[in-house]
Amino acid sequence: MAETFNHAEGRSVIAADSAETIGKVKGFVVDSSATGIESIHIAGRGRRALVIPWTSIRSFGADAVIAELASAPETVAQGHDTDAVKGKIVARSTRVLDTNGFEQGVVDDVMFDAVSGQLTGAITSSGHVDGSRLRSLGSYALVIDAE
Amino acid sequence: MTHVMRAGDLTGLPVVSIRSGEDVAEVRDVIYDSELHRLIGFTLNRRGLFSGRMKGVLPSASLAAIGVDAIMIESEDAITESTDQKALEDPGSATSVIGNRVLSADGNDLGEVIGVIITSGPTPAAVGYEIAPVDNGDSVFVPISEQLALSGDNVLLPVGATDFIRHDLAGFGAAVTDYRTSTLHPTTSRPTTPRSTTPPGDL
Repeated sequence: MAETFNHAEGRSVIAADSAETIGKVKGFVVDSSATGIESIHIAGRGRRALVIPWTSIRSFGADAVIAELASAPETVAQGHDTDAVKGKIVARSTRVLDTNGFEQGVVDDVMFDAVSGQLTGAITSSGHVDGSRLRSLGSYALVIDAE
Repeated sequence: MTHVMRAGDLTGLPVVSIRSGEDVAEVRDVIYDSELHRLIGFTLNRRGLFSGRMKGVLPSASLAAIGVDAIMIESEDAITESTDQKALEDPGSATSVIGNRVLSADGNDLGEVIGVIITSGPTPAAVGYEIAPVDNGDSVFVPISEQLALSGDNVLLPVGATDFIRHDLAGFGAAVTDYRTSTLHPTTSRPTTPRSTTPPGDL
């Protein structure tokens, strides 16, 4: 099922065992090769940010995200993840750069598969980009294959 | 159409890794071999607040592409500290074409070289010079090729090259394509003399 970052933002995150609301979707941590979602950022910022790994998501539903948690949500790991939660690597409004070195607008939204967490495409200010063309997401740019 | 740009405009462009999406450096200087009409590579500056010269350099062979907005590399590994290109370590040793006189094949002084024009894309090449005309008018662009003769202070264009001189960079991109085609396949109007062909059996 197709979802987008913009759509999913603000959705409640519910713990599967207690049915308690543990947070809301604040953002997504995407791997640096822009293939899929690594974790969901649900609360806090910077070093105090709470994230849930995608592997702990039982179901990314249309109205709520059900998370299977053995313990409390983890605080972030180092490196790329930390940058992402600090807001340094945010897919949205990031510049889009093709592999030939030409800018192709900025990211408006990112589409993903709600079951696998794989990115299926990006909507940019200059059009739709298929997931197969996404190469990497860094603090400088979303790099896509040139047409 | 070939997209062309001034080599000098590359200065300050970010060097971006395709693997990470990070800007790992920026162009400090463009090193160009004027005898071989070849881009040797770039010396680099650090990005951001603590900018300053980087130890590593970027040889042109390690480029993924040169674009209008960024220099693309596959990964940070493209930036190296050891290179067999002396000119990259000591940019002063590269022969410079800037300031040379450009003469047409029939001996007209066209002006002075003020810049090198390169093609963008995955296989960047030097394709022209920007010239400040003798009469101090707007600069013009002349195509270059292997046939061009170069001394310490003069550039002598081959016959026919003057037909492809343009006054704007955008039009020059198209002219370069035409010029390359014309030098690769010399004029079709020339009477064709049958070439001696080797019968396949003799191979």
